[in-house]
Amino acid sequence: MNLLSKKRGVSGIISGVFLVAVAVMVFNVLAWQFFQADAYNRIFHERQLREWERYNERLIILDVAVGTERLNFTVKNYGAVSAHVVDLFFGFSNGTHLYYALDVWIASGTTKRIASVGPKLLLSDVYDFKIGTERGNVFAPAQQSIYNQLQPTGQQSVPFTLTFVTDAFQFILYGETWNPPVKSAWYINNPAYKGKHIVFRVNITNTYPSDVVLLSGCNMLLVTPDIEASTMKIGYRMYISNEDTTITYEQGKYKVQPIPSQGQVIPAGKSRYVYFSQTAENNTFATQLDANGENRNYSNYVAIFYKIKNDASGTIFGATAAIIAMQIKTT
Amino acid sequence: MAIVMGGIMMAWAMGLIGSYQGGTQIQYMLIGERAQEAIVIENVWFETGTPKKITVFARNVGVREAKLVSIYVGGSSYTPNGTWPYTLTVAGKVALQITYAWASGESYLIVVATARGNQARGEWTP
Repeated sequence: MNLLSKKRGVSGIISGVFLVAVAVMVFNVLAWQFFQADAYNRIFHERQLREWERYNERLIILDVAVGTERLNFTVKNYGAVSAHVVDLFFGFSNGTHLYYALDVWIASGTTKRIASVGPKLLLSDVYDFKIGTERGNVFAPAQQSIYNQLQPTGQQSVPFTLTFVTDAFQFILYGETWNPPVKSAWYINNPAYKGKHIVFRVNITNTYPSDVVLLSGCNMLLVTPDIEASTMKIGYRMYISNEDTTITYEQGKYKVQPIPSQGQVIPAGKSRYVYFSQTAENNTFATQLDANGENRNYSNYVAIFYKIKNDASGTIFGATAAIIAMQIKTT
Repeated sequence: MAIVMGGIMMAWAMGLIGSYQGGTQIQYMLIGERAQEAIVIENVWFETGTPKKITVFARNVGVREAKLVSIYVGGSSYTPNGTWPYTLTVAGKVALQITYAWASGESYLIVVATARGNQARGEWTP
């Protein structure tokens, strides 16, 4: 009261109080805003962390056992976080779906066998399944459908392969060239071909990582059942001829070019035509179709004798490049 | 007089600030809750039989319970069998089954949405 009764200097005090009050209010608002934003950022950061963990959860299903009474498989965790497998979604090929709960923890970088889960299986069952994790990721085996039967799993590497495409197995007769179109040789059906001289070619691929050299012993054997004698008989046996050979007529003989003495090279991983017509190894006579006409089914064995280029042992290998089903009808 | 005027202005300013803080706090709370909620569609079964059905497995992968309120297949909303809307607890899972005449080989966009506006979606082909 004493202060108010003395009017001098009061307005300055009042304005000072208001100024401080306004400053405190502004500070409070800013501080409050800051804490709210910080709380939100913390929530969002936690969400991003959960998302990161979810995206870095990686499992792979291996070794699904077949011929078993219940599901058996291995799970490898190759992600950066531990995984908690909680779901098993099971589906039979007939459209029946089943759900089972699992409770399996798999640490990062470890594998775990999950055995005897899911429905009871029969040997005739065909099914697929998925597993789900607590983070919401779902994983399935690589194979689309699993046949619950034991099957052979062995593999045998083969040195040569035949691609069964239109131009993989062809033939020409005397007077013709290899200029397209060239006739396919799986099914030869023309009475006009009776007694004609013929050259076959087969496009085979060298599966070695090295070049191979085909030798003069390579041959093509056309075998057919001899119904009357209840045995098999050789219809034709042709030896390897030179690349791109055609049939020439010289001094009353139908001839082809023999394979060069150094053999025929098929580069590593490449495909080349191999020609067959010679009636004997290293002669020059072309094979002639049955002069009386024929109507036969043949099993055609393409036998390849070869060396691997730069093989120190110099081993001569023999392989069947293909077994081809053929029909020749010239009657 | 100046004191009275100043007091009135202070009261007005405090009310204004309080109102702003209240609105903003609600806003922060909503977006915070939304950020804490997350759902995924784990799997979808296309079930044969009469009538044909679709079962959608949804899982809560967030840290706040999620209220599932909508399920869309091919852009249309459907009501699944059982309790609906469904409150999905944290880490919980639910199978939502709807009657739908699906066709083999066609793709269906399936969306599950929560009350907070989050979605889980995926395209599935029977």
